[in-house]
Amino acid sequence: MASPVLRSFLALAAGAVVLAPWWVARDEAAASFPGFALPVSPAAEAVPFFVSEVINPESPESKAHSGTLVEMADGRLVAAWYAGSGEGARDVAIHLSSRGQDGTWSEPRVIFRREGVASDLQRYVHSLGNPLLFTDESNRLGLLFVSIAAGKWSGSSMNLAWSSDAGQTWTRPEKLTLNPLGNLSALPRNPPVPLVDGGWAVPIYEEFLGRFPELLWIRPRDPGTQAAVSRMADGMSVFQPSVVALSAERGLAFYRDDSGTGRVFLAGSSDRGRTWGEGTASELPNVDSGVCALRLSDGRLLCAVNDSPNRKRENLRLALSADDGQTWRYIATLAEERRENFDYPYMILGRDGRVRMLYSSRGTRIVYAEFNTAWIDEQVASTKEARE
Amino acid sequence: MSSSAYWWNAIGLCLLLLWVIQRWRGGWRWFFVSASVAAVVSVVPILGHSPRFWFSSVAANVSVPLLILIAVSIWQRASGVAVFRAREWSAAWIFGTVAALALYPSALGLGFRSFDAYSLGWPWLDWLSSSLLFGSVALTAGFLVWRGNRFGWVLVAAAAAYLARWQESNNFWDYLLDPLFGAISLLAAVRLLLHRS
Repeated sequence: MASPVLRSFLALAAGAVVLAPWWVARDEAAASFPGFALPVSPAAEAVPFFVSEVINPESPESKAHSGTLVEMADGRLVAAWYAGSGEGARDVAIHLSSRGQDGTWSEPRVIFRREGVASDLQRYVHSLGNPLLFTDESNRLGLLFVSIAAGKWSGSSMNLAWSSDAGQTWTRPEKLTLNPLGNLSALPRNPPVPLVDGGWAVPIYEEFLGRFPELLWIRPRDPGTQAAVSRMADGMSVFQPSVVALSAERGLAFYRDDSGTGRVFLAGSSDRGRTWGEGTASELPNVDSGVCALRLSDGRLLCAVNDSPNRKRENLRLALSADDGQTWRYIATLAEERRENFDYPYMILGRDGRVRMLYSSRGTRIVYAEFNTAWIDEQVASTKEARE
Repeated sequence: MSSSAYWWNAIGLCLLLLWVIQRWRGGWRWFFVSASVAAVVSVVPILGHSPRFWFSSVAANVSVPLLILIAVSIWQRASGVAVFRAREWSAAWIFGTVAALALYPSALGLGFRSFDAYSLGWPWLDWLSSSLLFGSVALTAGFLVWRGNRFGWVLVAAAAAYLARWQESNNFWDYLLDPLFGAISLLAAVRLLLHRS
């Protein structure tokens, strides 16, 4: 046995090596949870505007779902979704379309297929799904999407790819390790919240044994990307969070619920997204389907929900709140038809203050809708009149 | 997949195959036979892909302790020299068990008030909170080294590998523990307890 002095020295050295990576990270950690970035509020338009169109009218796939949308610095819109013969099918691919200055959507094209992703990741990939687009300050386009190794969504893991030419070409996807149990079951769904340091807080969720919401914190680094996850809630029922920033410090999360309450759950954070309060049932309905919320430039909150009496997804409605989610009022029904599905709304606020939205229609079509606050006010006025 | 992560998984697969084949017989001669068979098997394509491709598909990140324990086991069986004594193996199983119980329930959403132990493995996310993980492992490694237990150096190797980002993951937990190491540790710890009682 070595002398006590030598043993003590070795023990200290061993402890110091283990602590080294923690110590090295202290400068970067100082910028953790930097705060939410609020969009600059443009002047409100006076004339109501609303337009709605299908962006994949000729799509031959029997399933097109989970649309995502982003506005580039030059005003171009880029949309992506997954399409194939069915959820989790081997032929599912990630499709992309963009809308230029002429206002027309380009022919959708495939940007990722499972075979190419499997080759890039050096792993078996059974299917793809849930794309999510975002841009950084240098107009680089980021894409998160899941690759499913086996089974359905519980067998998925998340990948990140970048494009410097608005989605024409992409880097090899990089697998993000977000879970210690085989890195399974992390999925994105709703728009990321930009952070004041140029990073993003991406609402994601897990559905392995339990279902729960999380935030994926992404920071661009040179080289690579730094990604880490913080938990929003535990349990088995609330998931698919949609997060809106109320201020740099405060956020409000909207959760899909499958526990049978029939309500959207809300939870707040007042420490820049680090911790989240207990979710409470709101007056917004939920038929175990995805919801998406948005903060308008005037501070009111908009939420897209399904509210079919038969608890299916036969309609898609917009609700408005002027008191940070305490009370809600329906202002419009975007789609409604018996025995059809209108679901997975995705909303972003454009630089001009207009709401830009995607949703899945009839399981096969991706619908784009655009409207301004004047149109919202008009809907509010008309619903008031209808009540009186 | 980075080249270091690629080779990490390739080495993991080779060692695992070698360990399985070597179970039949000890000694250097059989070691070389086993190593040759493992090397060949690990490059023979299955359904158009290398075995490493399939191994990476099911084993996201092979932990440093598991890799070292397999390597030590192979060496001991070939040479007959005990690199790890009973107390090193016990330390490994106890560490794996405690780590698995601390990590996996909360990773499955069964934690206390939204606490996720896995997030402690990203020091830049919440530096103060992550001191809990890094501090605990540093104390464990220091204590084991001070006691002359070689498993302490395995934990040091895990930290060094994390500092160099040898794996695909950038979470410290993935360098310390994986589901296979956790499961083996739990079984071995139960056996240890039964032997003592």
